[in-house]
Amino acid sequence: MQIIKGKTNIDFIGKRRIAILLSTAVNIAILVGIAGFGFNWGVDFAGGTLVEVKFSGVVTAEQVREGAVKGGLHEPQVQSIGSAEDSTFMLRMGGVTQLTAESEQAAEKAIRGLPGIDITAFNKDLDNGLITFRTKGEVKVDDIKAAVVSSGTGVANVALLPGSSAESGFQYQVTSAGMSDKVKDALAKGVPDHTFEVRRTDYVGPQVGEQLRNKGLAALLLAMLSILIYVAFRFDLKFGPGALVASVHDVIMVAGYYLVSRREFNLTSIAVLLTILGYSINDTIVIYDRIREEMVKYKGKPLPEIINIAINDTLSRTILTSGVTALSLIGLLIFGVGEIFDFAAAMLWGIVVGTYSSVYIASPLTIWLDEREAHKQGGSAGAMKPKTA
Amino acid sequence: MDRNWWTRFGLVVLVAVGSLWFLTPTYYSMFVLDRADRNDVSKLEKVLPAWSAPAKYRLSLGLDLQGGIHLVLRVDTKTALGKRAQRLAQQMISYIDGKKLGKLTETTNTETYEVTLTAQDPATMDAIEKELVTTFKDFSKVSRNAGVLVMKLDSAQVDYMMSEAVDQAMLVVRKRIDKWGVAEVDVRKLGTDSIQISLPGEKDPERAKELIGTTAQLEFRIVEEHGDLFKDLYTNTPPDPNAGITLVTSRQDSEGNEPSPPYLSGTDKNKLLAYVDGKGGEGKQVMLHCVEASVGKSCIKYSTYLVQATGLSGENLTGADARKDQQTNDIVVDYQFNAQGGKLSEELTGKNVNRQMGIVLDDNLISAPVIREKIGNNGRITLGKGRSDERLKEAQMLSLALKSGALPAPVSIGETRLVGASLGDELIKKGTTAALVGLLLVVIFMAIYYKVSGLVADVALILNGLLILAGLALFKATLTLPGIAGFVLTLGIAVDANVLINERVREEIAGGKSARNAVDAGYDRAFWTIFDAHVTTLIAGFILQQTGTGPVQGFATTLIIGIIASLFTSIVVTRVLTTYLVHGRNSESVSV
Repeated sequence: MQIIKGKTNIDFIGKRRIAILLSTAVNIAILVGIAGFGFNWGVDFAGGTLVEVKFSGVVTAEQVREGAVKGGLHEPQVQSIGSAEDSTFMLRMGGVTQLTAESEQAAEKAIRGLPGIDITAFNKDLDNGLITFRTKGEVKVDDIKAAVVSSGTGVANVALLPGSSAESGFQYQVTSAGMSDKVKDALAKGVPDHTFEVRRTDYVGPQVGEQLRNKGLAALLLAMLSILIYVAFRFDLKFGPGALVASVHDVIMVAGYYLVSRREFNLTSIAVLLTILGYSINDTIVIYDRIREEMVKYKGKPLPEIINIAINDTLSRTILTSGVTALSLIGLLIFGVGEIFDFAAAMLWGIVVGTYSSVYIASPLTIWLDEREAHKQGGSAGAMKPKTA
Repeated sequence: MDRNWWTRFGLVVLVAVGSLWFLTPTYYSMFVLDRADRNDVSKLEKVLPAWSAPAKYRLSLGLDLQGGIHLVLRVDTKTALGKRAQRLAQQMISYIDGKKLGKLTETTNTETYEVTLTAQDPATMDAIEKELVTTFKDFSKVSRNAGVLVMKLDSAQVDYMMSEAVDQAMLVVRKRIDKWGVAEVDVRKLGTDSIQISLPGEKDPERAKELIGTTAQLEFRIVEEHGDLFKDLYTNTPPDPNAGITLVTSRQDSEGNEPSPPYLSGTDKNKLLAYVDGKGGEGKQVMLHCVEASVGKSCIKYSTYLVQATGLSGENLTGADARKDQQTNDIVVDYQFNAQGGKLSEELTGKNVNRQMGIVLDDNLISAPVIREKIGNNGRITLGKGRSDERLKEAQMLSLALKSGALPAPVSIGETRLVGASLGDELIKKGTTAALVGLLLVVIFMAIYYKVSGLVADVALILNGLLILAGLALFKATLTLPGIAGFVLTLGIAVDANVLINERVREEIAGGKSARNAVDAGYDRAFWTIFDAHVTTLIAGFILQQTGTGPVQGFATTLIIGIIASLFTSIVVTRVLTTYLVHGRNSESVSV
């Protein structure tokens, strides 16, 4: 069985200007889109709380949203997962503890309103959900707890800090309860007709989120750079930039998937980007390898022609590999929900652009670099010396 | 078939059998044991056949697939270090005061760790500076202006102390979790300032946070002679024979020390504690001391001690540092109390000179130094000379424990991830189905498209899958959801290698070569392409492995193992099989 019978002779290189123009335009549009609208950052990077619940019986996302607001949640983001019968939803809240900018004010008012309290210092740490204050007289820990709870913020613990004394004043610390508890309470109150099961909660502090994002992006850049070095070392310096530009192109294209689809951009998305990077490089290398080989075989032929022959010769392999890898993703696409589905869908798109870029972006760029160098040296194009493997 | 072929064939068989062997513990833990016992190594060891690979080499499921809590704690090392610099500055002042060199005042910048010392009499500063620079080697001089000396904590010390602060927090966290009794806790350092905790099977993140947030109880309690207490207890009311409790009677040891009175020894902390509970007598309590711990893990053997029921709380401790005394060369741990603690310490130690002071953390007696004299605000525990590396480590552990009650570095929860068991079950079912469906589709396609060569590729693919699983088991890795995705991706790459080879062989045949020559040329020419393609992906994998966290790392591990496996199966395995089909049977054609 053969997909492509006999030898093909398609002029890929002839179309390179159109391809590069089109790709550049799309890439710029995506970058502008990212700058303008941004990703739908997941809790991994933005920080916040994510609770996944599955209801008994059929419930709509609208019902969940309304119920959650009725139950006391402030601007929850509700997203349904899987099909309508699954009744599974992801609720996202900005904060990680119940102490948010709004609830903190109410809590502070409640504390200051306690009888016999005389506050000399008041500090809040919204990241960690802590309120620390110093008062002249002693207050009952339970009273503080009751006051904060009645203001709408759940409390995990109230402690009298060491070093408190009648002379220096009494220092208390209120640790607010986690946001996930509040989500559960709100849903129990707001959607009373259905019971639910908490399947997953993710809670990421804002600093950690930022750290994770920076690390993820750093990993991506580092991987690209190392690959560039390897390609330059194994092939020719002029191949490096082509491979790099093609992989940057693919990464941007897949980022575009997250931008347009508004799917959450999280740690798994970074994994997808890296996979696509690897895949696209793999594809590019195979074609480069062939170019290298044919440069030896057809010494003296102009580079564009050699590249065209190489792409045509590897065409059936390119289509086959992409097709088979796509085939292996079908299982994930059918059986995956939520994150797995996103993974498979983004990967599929990545395979398409990865295949396209190794044919239309990576190789033509090599021609361009070669022409430039030839022009500078005043020699003829195609003078590139191959390194033999 | 030449000898070379047989060697390679033997290697392939060996690898295949080896990977199956490494997967036996995994098979037994997943399909023979009950779901609840999946993480129980001792139960697994019971059901494993004698020929199986050791139980520790098994593939366990990640938290996302078996349910549980993943926590990341952030340790505020900067604050801890600022406090530490301040404490060291105060030590400088009292040191200089003790040497009668002059009076100093300090201001400490808790962000740059710079200590500014001002002398009451500027004329004394020359001598003070000389003394401080030689004694406090952790600091280096920044500037000196008449009576004002600025010293800064060395950056190497800063790094060391920061990592120590994280270690200390880890120790505390581990102790607290141990108390909780979760089967397979994994506590590890993450980056430079975070601690990652995995609690499989747990489902209440709030409870986890609460438990980790509570302070450990550190106390100083005087150790009592227990005489024949444990011997009598053991003979009068023998313990349950299954509790693993034994009576240890020691003889005079090799260094000529007097034999210590008989004591109890056991491996199960809770059983031992239950047995001795309330048996200490009036005003006394039996405590356990850990005599053997598994490397970097929890305690596995305890012995009993008798201590007074009340003591001095460690909450008044302000600091502790392990160091080598420059004059005596002894390894010592210096610790400091605040004013209140100092007063109480004087009282307790004053009446108990020459007795042992037990340092108790939660239920464990960590150390029991002898009180030489009355101890006030500043105490010193001397561990002696000994092999200084080991002693120093011991001293560091002790100082960590002393500080653990105080927890000087504020810890905040950076990340909590909870996956319910039902979701985990569903994901693993869907994940494996997805991977199997993907594999099946690819296998069928290859067989149709490349016929016999396709079947050869299929054998390689399946072996590739086995190798990945065995590799994960060998490295005691966990299988996570992104790991399954990585698995699927490596399948794609492995297929690609086979496609490259077969397309080459087809080309060579089309070019008029004989079957044998076409196969040889096809493999040879595809080799470097496959190699380059694999290496580039491997580079990406390693970078992910090094810099990624959590799910990304799980993905990277599978990818790395998968790429190496794919290199082996596509280059060695398929070639051995194809060589057999073409050369071995002296075939004139190749089915590709």
